[in-house]
Amino acid sequence: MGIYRTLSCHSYDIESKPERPMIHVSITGPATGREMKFTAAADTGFSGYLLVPMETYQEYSEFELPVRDFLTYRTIVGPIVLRRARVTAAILGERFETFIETPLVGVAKFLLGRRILNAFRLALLGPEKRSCLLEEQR
Amino acid sequence: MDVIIRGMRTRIYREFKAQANKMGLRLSDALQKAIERWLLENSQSSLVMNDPNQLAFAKLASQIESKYHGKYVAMCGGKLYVAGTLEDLGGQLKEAGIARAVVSHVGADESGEGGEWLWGSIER
Repeated sequence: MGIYRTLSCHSYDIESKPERPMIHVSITGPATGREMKFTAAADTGFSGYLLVPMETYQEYSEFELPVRDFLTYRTIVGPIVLRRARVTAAILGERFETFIETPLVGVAKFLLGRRILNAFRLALLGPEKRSCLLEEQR
Repeated sequence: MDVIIRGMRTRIYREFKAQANKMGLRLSDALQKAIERWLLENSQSSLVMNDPNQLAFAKLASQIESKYHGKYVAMCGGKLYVAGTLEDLGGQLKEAGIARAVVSHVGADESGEGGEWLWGSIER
């Protein structure tokens, strides 16, 4: 392990008890170029991409994947299929191609899953109630 | 995986086997296709299948897979758009004034089991 420098920190959602780590994210619709900014909870229990509520999904699923490429997730209430659409996302100014997902039925909120989290160096500073993106110091 | 099915009705099984044979399919492939279709018709995914673009894509899926492997394809209004990159495909759609389509990176997009969605997102 080397030395890491914090690039940017985001405050936890202190309304949640216990407080939850949040990350600022923006998504851009690939067809229209429309952009939306929001904060998503960093959820290491979700193995997927970026979960969004149905209304957001409907607005930004300009390039939806075929049904056969929707992924099925194991949950405590049984398997759940998530719709999936291509978007460009940005975290801390870094833009990347990824997917937004939402359940076929039921509710969802903004969650960042491990398929995205694993691409970033993220530190959870619990006592400070801040989640920070890091850069390795060379 | 190997599966043993007991109690099949002889006539249905024979008809199924004959039809698979006629179509040049192995019995396991024909059975898999039948199961996939049944699941699609009876699962939550059928809600999305009301979308005409999804329906049109599903109809041409096997043709698209064999013809455009590795390409980006989009289905919209019954028309198929093909490009080498997502940017090129986006350009084609923009030119055609399309803001919503079913888009696939043929043979590259993962499908099936996505993993788990556990306790992390559940709150009191």
